[in-house]
Amino acid sequence: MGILDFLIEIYYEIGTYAPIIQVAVASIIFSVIITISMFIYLSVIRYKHQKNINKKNQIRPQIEKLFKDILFGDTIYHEDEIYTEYTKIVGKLSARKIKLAIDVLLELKFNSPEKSRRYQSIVDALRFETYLEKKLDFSRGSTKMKTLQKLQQLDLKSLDSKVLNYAYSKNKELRREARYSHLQLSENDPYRFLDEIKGDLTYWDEINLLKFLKIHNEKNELSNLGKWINYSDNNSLTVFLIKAAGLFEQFDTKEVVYKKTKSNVTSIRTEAYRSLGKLKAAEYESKLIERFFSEKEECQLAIVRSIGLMNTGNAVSFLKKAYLEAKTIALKKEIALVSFTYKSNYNLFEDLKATQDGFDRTIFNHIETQLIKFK
Amino acid sequence: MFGEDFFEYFIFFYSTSLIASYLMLAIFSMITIIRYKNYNSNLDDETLYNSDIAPGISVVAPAYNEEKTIITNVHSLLTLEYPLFEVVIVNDGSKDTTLEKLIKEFDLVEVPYAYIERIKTQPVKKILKSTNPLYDKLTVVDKENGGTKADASNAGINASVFPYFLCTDVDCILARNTLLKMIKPILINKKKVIAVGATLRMVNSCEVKDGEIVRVKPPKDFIPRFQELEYIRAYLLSKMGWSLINCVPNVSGGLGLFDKDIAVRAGGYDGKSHAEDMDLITRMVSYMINNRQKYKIEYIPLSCCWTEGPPDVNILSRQRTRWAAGLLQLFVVHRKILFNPKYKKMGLIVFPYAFIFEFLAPLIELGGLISILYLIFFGKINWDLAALVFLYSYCFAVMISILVVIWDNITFKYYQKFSEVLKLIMVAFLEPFIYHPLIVFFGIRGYFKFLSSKELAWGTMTRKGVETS
Repeated sequence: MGILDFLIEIYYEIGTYAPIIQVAVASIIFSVIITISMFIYLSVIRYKHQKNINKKNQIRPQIEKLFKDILFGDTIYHEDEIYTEYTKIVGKLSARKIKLAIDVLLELKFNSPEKSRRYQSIVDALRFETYLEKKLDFSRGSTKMKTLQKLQQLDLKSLDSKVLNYAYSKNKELRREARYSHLQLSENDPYRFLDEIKGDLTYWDEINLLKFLKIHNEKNELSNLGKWINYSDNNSLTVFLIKAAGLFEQFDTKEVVYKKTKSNVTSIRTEAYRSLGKLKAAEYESKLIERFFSEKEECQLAIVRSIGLMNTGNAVSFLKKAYLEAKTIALKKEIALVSFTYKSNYNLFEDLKATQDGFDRTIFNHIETQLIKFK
Repeated sequence: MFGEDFFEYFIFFYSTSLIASYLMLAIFSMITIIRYKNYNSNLDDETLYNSDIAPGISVVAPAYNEEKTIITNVHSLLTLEYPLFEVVIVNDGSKDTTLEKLIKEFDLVEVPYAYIERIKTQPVKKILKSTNPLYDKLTVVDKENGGTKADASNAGINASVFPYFLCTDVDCILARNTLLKMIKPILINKKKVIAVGATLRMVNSCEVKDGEIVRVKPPKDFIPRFQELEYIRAYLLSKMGWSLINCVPNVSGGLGLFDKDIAVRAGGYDGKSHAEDMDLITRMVSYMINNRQKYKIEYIPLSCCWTEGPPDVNILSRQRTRWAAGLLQLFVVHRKILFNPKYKKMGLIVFPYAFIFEFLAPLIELGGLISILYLIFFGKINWDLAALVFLYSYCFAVMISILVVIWDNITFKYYQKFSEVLKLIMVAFLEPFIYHPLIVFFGIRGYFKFLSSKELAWGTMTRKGVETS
């Protein structure tokens, strides 16, 4: 009797058993088959992983040495020389070997203490662009997203039009990454998507947008954010742009930021008050003081912080009054903190401290203790 | 006759439901893990690390009689990679030299600290800061012993300054990028994420240098190795799976990142609870539901925390007895949530699942054992059927364990060698015979101790300490 006949016989025999037994047997067979398959799969992935690691350990140091020589050495390599030297190490160029070259180059670009102007020669010689373009064309969403990140890291502006294709993708992660990439890589209209942001920004959006604005700012190419602050109907974006204007000290935006202190939206007003301080907009100090007593607490905190940053020396009596009328610990603490560094002939901090006792006195002691880093 | 049939069918239905739920969780966790792998990269860490606007995080770690590990682990916490964070260590009235060691190592002095008791705790004696600028992120809160980790954690939350806090144990070693990885679900979600968890593993046989894990190895001793597999299963399969449908039952006390405002409004940890982690999540979720606010609890599939697992049965017994008592206490304290539609998923999925498949499981297993003994005694047992039913659950348990080992290897290959992975797989075959019966026994003992109101210790565990090179 063959195995097949045996199995058929068992199959029919089990069919005569109670349902419980049938389910149990089926489940046991299922579990055993899956367990064996998974074990084989695990062995394969571990084997492949080990093989890759061994190979990388073998050739990666050689690639690093070559790239360091190209980037930081005295010899100037031509593209065909780079290609020849690289293929001498890795053999025939394939997608995996280009990926390895990109990883090594990025490692050197971001982690090496030395900086070079020759990154592009490696990019061109090993045809990174063609490789990344193919990745963008023929891979799934998540790989496309990671490819876009590589474009950002390599600062490959030539693929900007490709990036734009994904800026309206249905895949929201890919769409978001494409828009970030466009902001960094586009030379014509990097800010076009600022007008198209719908809904609230997440904290992550803010962090990324700020990162790319910072790149423009470092190259002195950052546009004046005032026009978007002025016209954007997206409250969340407006808050972010006001924050960015403050962080990048775009002094030209003072007026439009001040206008936003009259907004009906508390978060916009709060950010505007805060940014005026960073923009050293001392000309609006008296206006902020006027508004203080009719504002919500988060706005009051922002006003006090701004007045501290303006540090004109003219707000001593305001700070004193604000402290004496403050009802929450957070506000008292903020005013005490500002008064500690406030430049004036009159020592407001000591004056206020002298009149306090109990926990309020501890707030002053806390603030003047240098050992406490985060007040 | 009817009684025996009913019990057989009940057990079969119960175990089949459990198996079905595990299969469902396996699919859910696969989706979340693949999604996480696809849409997260190390570039995100770099972006966040270099950001000027990253939100601050307070790392809160309570310590009670931790003199053996405290110094290494505080050094480890201070070297976390994140642009804005502080470390708050709470000495909960230790009877050993924990505080003295901290003072000496980190040059601590008492400071006038504006400590606000937003959550009620046992009195704080003093707050200390370092005179060495290298340790300016460190704050040590010295308080009277509150009897539970929860009370100490609350004091740490009160002393913390940032909007998010990461709760951990001082015997834990965190991966350097823990904060970068764990804050991301909070930053990327439009819905309010009130808590984030990540996987814990055993530090027992790992190589540690300067408070950092340099080589992950499976524990040599069997008890912690069983626990390693159990943890990976609990985190990668169960919690990752539940996170897909926003039904995470708890974020571990060993490693959890929380929204401070919500945690404080929910009343913080319950100082009397012995399952303070599940209790906190329960109260935070209740707060959100009662205030009609949308929320999410997220898990990431990365192992970010290595903790010293109980090295022997005695210490395991203490730990598990406390956890079981805590579970029963949770159902007593929050009984109004169970099967209550007002609490939505918490009342209709999370609590019922925990009640039926976690709380009742040891009792049902005990019932099964008694009935087998009864049948054996009266010669009524059908050995073929008994063997079949045993194989049914055994094969499934092994399959699930191997599945999570694969998940673990897909997420990140923590073990360097395949032989180390095999060591973990080996315990999957032994677990139902050795480890599981112990866990069932300690569970029942925990329920008994809770019901007989016997006092349970702080969660103290005799530490061997980690060997550092």
